[in-house]
Amino acid sequence: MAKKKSVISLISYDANRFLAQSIKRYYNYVDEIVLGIDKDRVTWSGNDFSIDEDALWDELSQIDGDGKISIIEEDFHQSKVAIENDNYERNFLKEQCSHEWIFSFDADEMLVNAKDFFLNFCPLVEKYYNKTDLCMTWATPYKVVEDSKGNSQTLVIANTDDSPFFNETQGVITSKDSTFMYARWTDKSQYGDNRLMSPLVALHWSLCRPDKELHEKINNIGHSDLVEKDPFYQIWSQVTWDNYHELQNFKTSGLGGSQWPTLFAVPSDQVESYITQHLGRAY
Amino acid sequence: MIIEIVGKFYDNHSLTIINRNIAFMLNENDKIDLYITPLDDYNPDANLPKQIVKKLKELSAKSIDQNSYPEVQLRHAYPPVWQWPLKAQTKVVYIQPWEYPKLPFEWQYKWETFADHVIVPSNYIRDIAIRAGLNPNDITVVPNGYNEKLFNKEEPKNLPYGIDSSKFNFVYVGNSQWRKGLDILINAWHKCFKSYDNARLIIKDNPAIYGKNSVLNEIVKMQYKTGCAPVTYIDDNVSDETMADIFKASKVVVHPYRAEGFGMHIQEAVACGCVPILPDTGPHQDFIPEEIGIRIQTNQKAIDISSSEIFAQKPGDAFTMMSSHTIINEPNGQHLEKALQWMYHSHDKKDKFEQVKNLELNNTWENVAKQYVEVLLNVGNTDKPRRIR
Repeated sequence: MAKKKSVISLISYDANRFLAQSIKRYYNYVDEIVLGIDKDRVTWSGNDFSIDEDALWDELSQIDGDGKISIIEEDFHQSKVAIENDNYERNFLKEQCSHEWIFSFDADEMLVNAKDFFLNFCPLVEKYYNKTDLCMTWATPYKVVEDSKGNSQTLVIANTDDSPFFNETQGVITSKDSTFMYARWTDKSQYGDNRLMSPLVALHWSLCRPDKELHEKINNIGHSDLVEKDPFYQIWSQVTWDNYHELQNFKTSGLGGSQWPTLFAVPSDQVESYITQHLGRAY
Repeated sequence: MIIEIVGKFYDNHSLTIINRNIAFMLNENDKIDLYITPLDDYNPDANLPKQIVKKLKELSAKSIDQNSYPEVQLRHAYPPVWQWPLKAQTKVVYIQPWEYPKLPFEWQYKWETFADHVIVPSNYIRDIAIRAGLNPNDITVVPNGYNEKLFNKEEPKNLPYGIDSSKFNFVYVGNSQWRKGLDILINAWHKCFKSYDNARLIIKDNPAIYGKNSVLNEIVKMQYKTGCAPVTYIDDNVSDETMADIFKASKVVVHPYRAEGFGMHIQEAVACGCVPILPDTGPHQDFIPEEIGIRIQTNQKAIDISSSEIFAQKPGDAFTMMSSHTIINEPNGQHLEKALQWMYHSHDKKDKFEQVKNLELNNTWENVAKQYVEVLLNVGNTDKPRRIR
């Protein structure tokens, strides 16, 4: 029998846009989904947020035919340091989980190959579930722009050969005896050891969202203190259909080891197809 | 005669296992007054039985008379311990394993000018040392032993890690060092067996000693990409008892090594009834008869031993005048594939199991200890240390 899986995810300012779509990708393959929301509707950075809760609860109840989803309300903004609240919330939610194998997907992550990952890969590694954290690869859309004919194009972070940039990985699966130390990096994986790569790829819509929502995000994420010194948003704001190809090695955050080589334009309705075509290069 | 053993005693490295067993055996000899000087501290992660830790503590706490001194100091560590003994009268004997066909020049020089004798575990190493210039009279082969009370053909007591003895288990013990040949085995494995076969490969790694590596990532990826038969990867510190149970649940021990000093686990696994798949040359030839198991063809290959991919250098390693180029015996991957498949599919394999069942291995720790005693008493009874001042 397959090892049971609990997912933790977070409800915050972007839940209406992403959360239900994200859960749909993995709902059938996991046994429990624990969602956390701050009881005062305050972000980790201490700012108020509001979402259309009625719409969200309605969407979640439509998805949750098997009664897997539970929602935990708690004070997740006790510290003045955003990353401490981030860690606290993840650890708190982890403790509420019924199972030992903990999957942690953020709302803006859309798993591209969930079926293959859960059915073919997880059985190979479940016996190591508490020895090593599992990582997935991010495929990262950067910005939606209009081309010269008025069509919607999504600029995706890419290699110079136009394939998706798959060099950013994130630890997303751990065990209940781990402690989240820096967002989803745990005491097992935070220093680079005990990381097992996997074929799982997620479209990470962290950056690719309307201007106002992006501004809200970068001022409220766990590492928002670093963002203040990062010219990312200024550069992002200026990127257009006419100039996007000029961006090369343009990552400014310093987070992670890899530079972003370039951007590749994909018709917005074909982004997932573009990523799927190149999945073999992610693992 | 007062004898001191200097080395590690509290982990599960092969040198440490040897030190423990020699210490316990020599301590039972009436002619020897033994104490130990551990170079390491007690480590609970090594999962040593309490009675063993207690005996080690007693041997290390043992005090000798203020006016006495160890007549022989037996040193077994890597890198070798080179400092002078506290008393000028103490004779120094080295036990020193080595794997590659060229010996570090410093070792040959130091042994000629400083050591009273050198003990190596195999004729393979003895030949290397003699080729390096060591006086053949100054070196003796004493094999590594095995504990026949644990490593025997009885049924396993516990099967950890989900190991199922109804599977056709192949077991590999080693690490990711290039010389161990795990890459050759992994490359062969996915070509030989698919997930629907009843075969399983058990890899026992030892990163606590040899450092973290990417073996788990590689074998998981191999299983996912090729659909090969399952692999169980174990990197915990496991006790000798658990190791014996793993061998007893396995049918074949496979070790396609490029360079090895002895191969203790080969001896232990064969003692538990595993048929060995080994290169056609190497130190195992001292203790595994030619007709036992299957031999993989090897081809001589020139290597650059200073390459970090080949030799993971540690502080204290010696390379002066060793020259960077040497030869190893590269096991043939295709021949390994044939050997693995033959052991799984052939009806004639029962003869191989029968041969192993009837094989009597000689190197119990008790037998090995007798050889140590002879060497140590001979050295201890010489007039004075040979050290050149």
